[in-house]
Amino acid sequence: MDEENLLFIGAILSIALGGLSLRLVRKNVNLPWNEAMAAHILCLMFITKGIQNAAFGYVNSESTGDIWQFWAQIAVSMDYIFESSIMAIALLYPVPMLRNMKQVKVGLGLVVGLALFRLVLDVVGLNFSVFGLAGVFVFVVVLVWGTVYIKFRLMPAEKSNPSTQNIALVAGLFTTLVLGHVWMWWPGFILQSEYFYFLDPFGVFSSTVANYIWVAGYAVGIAAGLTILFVEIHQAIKGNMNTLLYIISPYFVLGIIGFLIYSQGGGSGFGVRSGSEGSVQLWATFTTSMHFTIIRPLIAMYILLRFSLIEINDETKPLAKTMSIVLIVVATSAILELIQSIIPINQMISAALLGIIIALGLGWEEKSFQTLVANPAQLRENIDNRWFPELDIPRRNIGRIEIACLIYSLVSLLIAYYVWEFDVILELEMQRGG
Amino acid sequence: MTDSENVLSDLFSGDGSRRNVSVYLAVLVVALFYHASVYWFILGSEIQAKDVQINYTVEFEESSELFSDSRTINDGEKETLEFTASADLFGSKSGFGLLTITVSYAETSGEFADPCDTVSVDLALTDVSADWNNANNVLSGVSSDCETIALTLYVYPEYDGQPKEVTGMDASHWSDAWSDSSYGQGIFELDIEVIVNEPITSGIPTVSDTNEEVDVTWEAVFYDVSVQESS
Repeated sequence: MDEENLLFIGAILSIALGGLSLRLVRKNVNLPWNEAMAAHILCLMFITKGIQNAAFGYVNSESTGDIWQFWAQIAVSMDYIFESSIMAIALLYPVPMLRNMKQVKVGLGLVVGLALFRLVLDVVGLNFSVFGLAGVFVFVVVLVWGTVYIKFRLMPAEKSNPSTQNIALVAGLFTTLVLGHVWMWWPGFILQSEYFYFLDPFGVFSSTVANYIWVAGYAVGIAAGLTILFVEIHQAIKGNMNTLLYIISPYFVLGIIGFLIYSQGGGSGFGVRSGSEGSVQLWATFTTSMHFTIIRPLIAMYILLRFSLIEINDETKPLAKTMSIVLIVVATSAILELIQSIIPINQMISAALLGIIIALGLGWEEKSFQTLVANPAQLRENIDNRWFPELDIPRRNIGRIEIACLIYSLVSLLIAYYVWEFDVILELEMQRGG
Repeated sequence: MTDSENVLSDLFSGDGSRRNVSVYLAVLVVALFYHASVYWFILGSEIQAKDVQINYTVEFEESSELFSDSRTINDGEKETLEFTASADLFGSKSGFGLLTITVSYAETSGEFADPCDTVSVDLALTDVSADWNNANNVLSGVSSDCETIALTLYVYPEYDGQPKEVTGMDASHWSDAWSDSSYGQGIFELDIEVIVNEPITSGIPTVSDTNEEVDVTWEAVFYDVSVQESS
């Protein structure tokens, strides 16, 4: 299975998750303002991420002509939403950093403004320049969620309770969602390997300084990840185990194996595309690409269900189950396809295997779904109210985030057409020596 | 802003939290400095060199495959000749650069004062992947004086046989860019039409000129590409 196929699988997963969960989030009228806003943004983020995955799939599929510019511009425009959404969620959830209306307006205004500013840069031909502040969202993630994690995970014993641990878990899960793929490069960062320091996410389009800012974000992201890992191991030794340790430790173990594989090849991180050495290409598909396309939606689904951003009742249960089944079945079949691409198995055997795995997966889903729904994790019980200020933000205003996102997407479509029609990226490529 | 509206004061409140969060932020700063020192100093020259745009010269070594065909075409009739380049060449060479076709004929009726016939040729647009819209293509021609007609189709986009200076990427990128074997695969079709020009003695019953023999030579120019760093 080529990388672009995995991108299309990721597109299906993300759009399915985003679309179905958005319906469920709308029905959950009891959510506090910050959780309602974060849940809406999370759902919309995954819908746009799905569009981005599909667009990147088309860019990588080597279609003839110059239409790749259209798809590339769609992909970067959707990535602007992703980065701004991540920053917005970090400012709102699990504990709101914005505590009054003025702070909400300024904070969210800045993240929306950044996305619009980047679109303007693309129109005027300053795509991928240092002014776009690409990668700055990683700094926001490690500063906000990292600090929240440390604060609540290491609460003194007399103040610690399930809610503080759950807040730390949510912060850790979101950090994993954003930075999991980066954590698999941790040995490269410490051991000064080319595959990390030569990361060049935008190829000829980006300058050395732009690459520096981007990779510096990854460096602090790895430092945050190692700190979380250290804290989790320390807490586990003290008998205060948290689910997060099971989730993050594979990333760091895979990082060690990845170091051995990447060190053999010439490609660096994102630069691994078809044409690279087989083993490096395969490893990148199984780790980085899989995190982007499959693991991220699964983590998001877990957060939505576990922390009651989706209210499960008799009315919403069928849709919620459909959502989780779609994610599990598509993810399972994609992973089996990946395995089949390296270990050729007879198609009849693989079909039977797929059936067995999905049956087991659905059985597991039934059990785990019930567990998740029956025991929703609390974030606010026995927590000082100052962490959760009450703001009067009407639900209809929160619903307008969807309209804003739709308008942004339509504008992005027009800009992508403009970029394609006027060969903006192609000219940029020639100017910058592509 | 009241104290309760300042989240930072809460994040740093309490001796334990202040210490923990401060240590965490210190770890981030250390990582940032470590990364900066490696990026700009320890691996600085290699990283800078990576972004320096290298100039390359792309050169082509040509080799040709010739194929000849001959047809006798009756007056007013049109025939289509087909040509397919050898499959071996697509495998052994980097690319199919251009296709030249020469069409020659003479007046073969043997009649006294018989002028040359009119031969028109047209290389038909087929689904063969080629640079059909290249401004330098010559896809049709006519001759009424027994002059040879020469047609040229540039098959590989931007190929003209001349060395090219390119900048950026790496040698393998440029080598790959000039090694797409899909160009030129398929059947080329040449339409030939003959209009006989009768001799001035055509009124005599035994004198007639009803057809012409046309010789066609297809030359498929393949190339091997080599990419050299030029600076």
